[in-house]
Amino acid sequence: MRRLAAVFSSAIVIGLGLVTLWGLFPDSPAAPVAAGLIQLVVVISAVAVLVGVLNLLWVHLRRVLNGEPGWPYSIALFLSALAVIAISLLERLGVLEGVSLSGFLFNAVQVSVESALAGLLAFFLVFAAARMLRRRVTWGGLLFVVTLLIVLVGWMQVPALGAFNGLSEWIRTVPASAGVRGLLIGVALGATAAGVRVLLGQDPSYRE
Amino acid sequence: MSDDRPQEEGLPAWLQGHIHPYPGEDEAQPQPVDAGAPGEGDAIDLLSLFAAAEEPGAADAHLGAGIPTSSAGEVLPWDEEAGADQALPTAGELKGLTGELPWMSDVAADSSPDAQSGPPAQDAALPWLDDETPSSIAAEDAPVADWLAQTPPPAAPGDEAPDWLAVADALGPEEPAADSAEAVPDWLAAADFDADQEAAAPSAGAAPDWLAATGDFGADEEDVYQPAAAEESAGEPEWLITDTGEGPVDLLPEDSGLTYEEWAQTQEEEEKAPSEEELLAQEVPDWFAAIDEGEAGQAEAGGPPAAEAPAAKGPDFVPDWYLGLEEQDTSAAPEWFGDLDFSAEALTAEPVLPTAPPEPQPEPEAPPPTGEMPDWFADLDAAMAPAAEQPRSPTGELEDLFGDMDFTAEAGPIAEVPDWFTGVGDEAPPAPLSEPRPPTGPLDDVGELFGDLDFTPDDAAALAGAAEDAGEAIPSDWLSAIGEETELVSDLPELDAAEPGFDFLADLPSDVGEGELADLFGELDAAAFEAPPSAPAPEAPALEMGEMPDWFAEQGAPAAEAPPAPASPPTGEEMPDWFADLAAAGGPPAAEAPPVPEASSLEAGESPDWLADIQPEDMTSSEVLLAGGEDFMAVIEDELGDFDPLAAAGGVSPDAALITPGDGTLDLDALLAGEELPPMPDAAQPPAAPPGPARTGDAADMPGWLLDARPDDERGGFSVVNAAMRRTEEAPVDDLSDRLQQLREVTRRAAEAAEEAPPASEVAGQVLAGVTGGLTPTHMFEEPTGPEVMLSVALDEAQEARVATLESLLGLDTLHKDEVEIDEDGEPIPVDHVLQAQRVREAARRARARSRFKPSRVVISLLLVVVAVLPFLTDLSGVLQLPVAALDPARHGDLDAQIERLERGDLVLIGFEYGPTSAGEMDALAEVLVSHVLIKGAVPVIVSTSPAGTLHSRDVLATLAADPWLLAQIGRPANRPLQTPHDYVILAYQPGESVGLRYLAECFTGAGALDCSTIVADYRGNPTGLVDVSFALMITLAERGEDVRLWVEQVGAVVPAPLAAGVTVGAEPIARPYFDSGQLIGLLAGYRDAYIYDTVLQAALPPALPLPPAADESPTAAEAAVQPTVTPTPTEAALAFLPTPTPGDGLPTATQQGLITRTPTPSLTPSITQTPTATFTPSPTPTDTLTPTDTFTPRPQDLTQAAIAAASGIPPSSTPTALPTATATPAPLIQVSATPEGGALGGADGTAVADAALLDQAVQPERAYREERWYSLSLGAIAATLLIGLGAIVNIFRSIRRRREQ
Repeated sequence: MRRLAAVFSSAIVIGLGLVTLWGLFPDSPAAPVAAGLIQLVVVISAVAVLVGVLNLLWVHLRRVLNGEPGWPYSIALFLSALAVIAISLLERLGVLEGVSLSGFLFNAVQVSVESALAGLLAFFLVFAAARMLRRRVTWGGLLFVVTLLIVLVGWMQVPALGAFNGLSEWIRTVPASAGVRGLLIGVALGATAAGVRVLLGQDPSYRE
Repeated sequence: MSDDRPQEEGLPAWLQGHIHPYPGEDEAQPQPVDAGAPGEGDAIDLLSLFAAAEEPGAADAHLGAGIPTSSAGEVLPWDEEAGADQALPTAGELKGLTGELPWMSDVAADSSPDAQSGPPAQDAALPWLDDETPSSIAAEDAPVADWLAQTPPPAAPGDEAPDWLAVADALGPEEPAADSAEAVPDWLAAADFDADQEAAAPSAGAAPDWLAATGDFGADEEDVYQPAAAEESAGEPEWLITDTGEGPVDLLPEDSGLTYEEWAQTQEEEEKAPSEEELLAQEVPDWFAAIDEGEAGQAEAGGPPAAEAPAAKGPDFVPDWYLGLEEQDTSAAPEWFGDLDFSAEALTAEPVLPTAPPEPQPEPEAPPPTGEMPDWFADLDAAMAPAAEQPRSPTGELEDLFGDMDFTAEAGPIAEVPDWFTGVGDEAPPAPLSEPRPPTGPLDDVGELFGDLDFTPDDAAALAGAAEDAGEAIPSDWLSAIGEETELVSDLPELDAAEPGFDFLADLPSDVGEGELADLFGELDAAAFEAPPSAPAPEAPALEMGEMPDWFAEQGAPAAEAPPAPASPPTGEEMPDWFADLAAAGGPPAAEAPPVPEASSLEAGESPDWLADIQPEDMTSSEVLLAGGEDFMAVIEDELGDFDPLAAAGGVSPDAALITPGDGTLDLDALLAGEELPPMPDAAQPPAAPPGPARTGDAADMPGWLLDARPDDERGGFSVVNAAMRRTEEAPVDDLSDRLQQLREVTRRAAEAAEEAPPASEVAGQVLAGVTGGLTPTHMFEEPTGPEVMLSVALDEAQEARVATLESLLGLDTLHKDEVEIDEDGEPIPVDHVLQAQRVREAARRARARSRFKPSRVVISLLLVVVAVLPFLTDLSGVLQLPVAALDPARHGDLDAQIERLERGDLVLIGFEYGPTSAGEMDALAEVLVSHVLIKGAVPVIVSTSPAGTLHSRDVLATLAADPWLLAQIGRPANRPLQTPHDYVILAYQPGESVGLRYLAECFTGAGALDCSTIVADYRGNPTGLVDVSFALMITLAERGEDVRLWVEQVGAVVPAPLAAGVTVGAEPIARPYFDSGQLIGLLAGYRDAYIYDTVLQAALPPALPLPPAADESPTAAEAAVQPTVTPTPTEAALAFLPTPTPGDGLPTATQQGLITRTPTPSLTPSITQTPTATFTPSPTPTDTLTPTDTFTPRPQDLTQAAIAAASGIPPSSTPTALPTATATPAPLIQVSATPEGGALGGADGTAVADAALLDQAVQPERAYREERWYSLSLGAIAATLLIGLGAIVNIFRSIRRRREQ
């Protein structure tokens, strides 16, 4: 029975995948079907986000109720979420007309904290790069450091450096771009292979 | 308990506690089979045979006294059967007895008829019995033992014999049972005995102390006793010494019908036949049997064929000196060496009782004349005969019978062993000290057979009564009188000789007569007692010469004919023949006996611990007999009062401890005489060696290798043997395998430890005194030693360095220095663990603090902070240079141009794919792009696949919506901020990422999306009014390169609109390929590009003249009010500049297309100074004046150049060639001059002059710290570059130096 269900589900997935693929072609008669399927996925994704939020709240509420380690943080999260949701609802209902309290909270808390954390990354990167060759000096490490220095100097576009700026530009456009292109091509091939596997029923998920 | 057992009152206190409870009293107690005494349970079964064969009456008290019991208070099976209700089974009821020995039922059934007519089957096996027969045993005394017939004339009964014995003497043997009950002691009277049985019972029970002690010389004592042949003579009693040399005792049964010669011949033939000795020999190695044989040959050429017996195949004990020799060439080793099993299982496994030897059990093939032995013995013989015929095993029932004999150390005190008996076990192979039970042989079986006899309280009481009745006259002379007067007493030697625990006598059927009983014993002797060297010898030491019975006195004469004990040639002459045979046959049982339990101190009035641990059934006959002899026990207790057997180097048998240390023997006479016991062995001595083989006395018979391996007394142990054996072997040590080498090393250390130890075996050496060539005692279990202290660990430098590193990391580097403190004596002071733990915690805390504090990290961080903050504190414009405000089409694309081509109302899709984390970098880019779009009048439609992006876009747009500069640029009053969805639209968060983008793209294109509700409402749910939208431009503001990819793939490929991207610097490498491929028309990355674009934009835009706030007007109304004032141009341009094409540019020299005139308000009437070059002439009239004929679409490069010129303030170096002559009513706010090379805009004089008044009114964009941020970034990049470079250089040099140092 389980195997039959697996076969049945595989057939559904393959069929819908082929239909969607067909619908993606220009002027495909299956485009509406593909669009409907895509929209269905979007709706499901939205519901999944909602479910995820509720699950997050439930998990932390349970931690609070069970007194698990870190329950104070769970309380903070739970109450904060409830507060933001309430503020958003009030704003939507027009109770807080003209006051973007949710926006203020977002900028004051979320943006500030995340920006600060991102700013600390610069300190960390510099410190790590400065100590990179402390333990061991390797050709790879040396090459990395040199490249980093060239990129940094080139970014500043110091006119006095002259050709050095061109070197930096060359590094960014040629080696870096080539590498990224290769990466993107690899991603594309991988995505294609994965899609083909799904359409051919060779995906391991079918056997689960 | 004592109340329930009143009969115990007559027993010593220590014995009362060990008397077996009444039958049934402890029935609830199970009968465990003591694993430590294997075979004991089986022996019990066997003994139950005898217990059921006769009534377990009062005779059991002494007959079973010497039987070791399993444990305290345990009811033995046979006891339960026999004594549960005191209903004694009859012979006919003895069907199997315990149900396990069916053959015994046959014995019981056959005992009666055989007792009457059957000759004693084992007469030949009792040479001592036969030797005494012909001369003095009368025909009517046939049931009486022959030797008894030769006893002196009856003495006065009342003098030396108890009354009951005297009466028995008077009545004569014919009617022993008739009147004996009147004269017998109380205990005997209480016993339910027939006359015959009574005759046998009191003979032992009423025995004097010395005789009682002889009862200990059963198998148990043999196990313990280790004769020292070298000092044998010194320890012999005088009476025995005087009796030696008289030749073998000729014990020819008087009723055998044979002459002495005939009988002797028969005896010799039977000796040649497989006898019990072979069985014994199988228990010893061949070489040992050879020694045995050789020794025996000294006394008798035709010694026992023990040497021919195959070696035992069971697991043998391996001495230490053998360890490590497994792989050596065994060809040089003796035969027995190859048969040994040195496997781990064999060494460690509990000894398994060896199977019966293949040789047939010597059985009397022809029934000897009944007159050769007492009838009761013959009866037993007859009873045993069918049992021997059982096909159960080669040895038949004899094996079953004796297979489980217990030769445990609970035997009676060795002190009571006569010296001559010490040679019995000389040939015994060494037995492990801790071996619970050695492989038993027939001799073992005998002892075990009787070792488990029951000892009931009745017996004890009877014993006590007998002791009281016996009085003082019994101990010395009574036996001689007995020997003359009664045949019952004549059996005493046999009883005691055969086994101290002749409990089976009491269990014989009641209807068995004297003769039957004698036959029974004869049978027993023939079947099983032929070998055991246990029997009669013990009696002898206690006898003075004058008191000794004649039969015993004559034993010495025929000693030459009897196989003397090999280990002790003199003793062979001194002991009875049968005993000599036993001695020659082997002491294996004795030697292999496990160590006796450790004795404990004997305190006054208390039993020693080791006795407390002994159950009645564990007791030897001597112990029980001693229990009845209070005087004797008093002597023992006095002597042993301060003796602590446990302290006496554990493992040493208390009995063995009684042996005189000097000669290994105990002067029993002295003991009995109340003399002071020899000094006890030193308590501090280590555990004594197991009862090893007796010294053979002559090492000449040893093999050469054995002589070399022979330990000397000085070394006293096995180490010498070990070393010597290794020397003798040819195999080099290096050839040994690793395993053997390790084993060899272990053995060597053990040997060294043993050598260093105090004379391990002073006691053992005393016990083994005279033992030459025997296997040395070996520690079965290595003595526990203290934990091995490793003072240091050998580490190489690298390991030490690692350890030091770890310690330093943990902060333990300083802690270890004072970890171990040494006192004055150089001994380490015990570490205070609490203090140590506290130190460790403190060190760990310091280590953590030290790990957190990294100076280099702090320096770098501080430096970065300084360089980042410094631009905000000081003006660095003269130090650092701003980026060139020029958009490079090759690098940035045509994004600015595309925006400039936007028309009012065009929809621009902007993807906010970044969140707060990259807001600092991306917000500037988003603001400038959105502002430009808004200035162009387009309506940005913002969407995001991230909730945070949606919210952040809200905040960004909210900021821009209220930006006065932007509003001024748009032409809105400051109180009319941008509103959604009129000015911009923020769509709801789009889930699904790639799929969501695909769905969104299809909605935009209308390519078949079923429901594009996503664009219908904004993120607040308000309607957007977007239906059938068509975007003029798409811009994605992505934080990650992945987002760019998704937009390019899912949106850019579907929506027919140009797509540009503004990304972070980190995402630029990923986005760059899409830009290079043309999939992105423009690409801006990071704050740098944002700054450039903003600079160019601001430079291109006219001054934002603030509009007066619209009062009470809705945005729509205000906008509507403005709209009429605005020239309805196709596109509302925010910028108006006049590009001046250079001659070589090839671009048309047209000015701004259409001359966008933005006439916000008619009131604005600036006095415009028309410049010849560029004129931004917002005129109130929508009439544009285009001087050039060509229209010009500003290119980004141009915009950039213009912006650069505007920002730098550098006047154009050349005047433009084309001078638009646009005139407008409102004067241009900005006069942009451009160099001719750049095709810049400019007037005729190259300067742009704005009205100062208007400039003052213009609203400046709120770009807070725009340059400071740039300076901060620049300084930060410089600092980072320096730090990284410096760090790299330092580290490189450090590495070089480190390598040089290494």
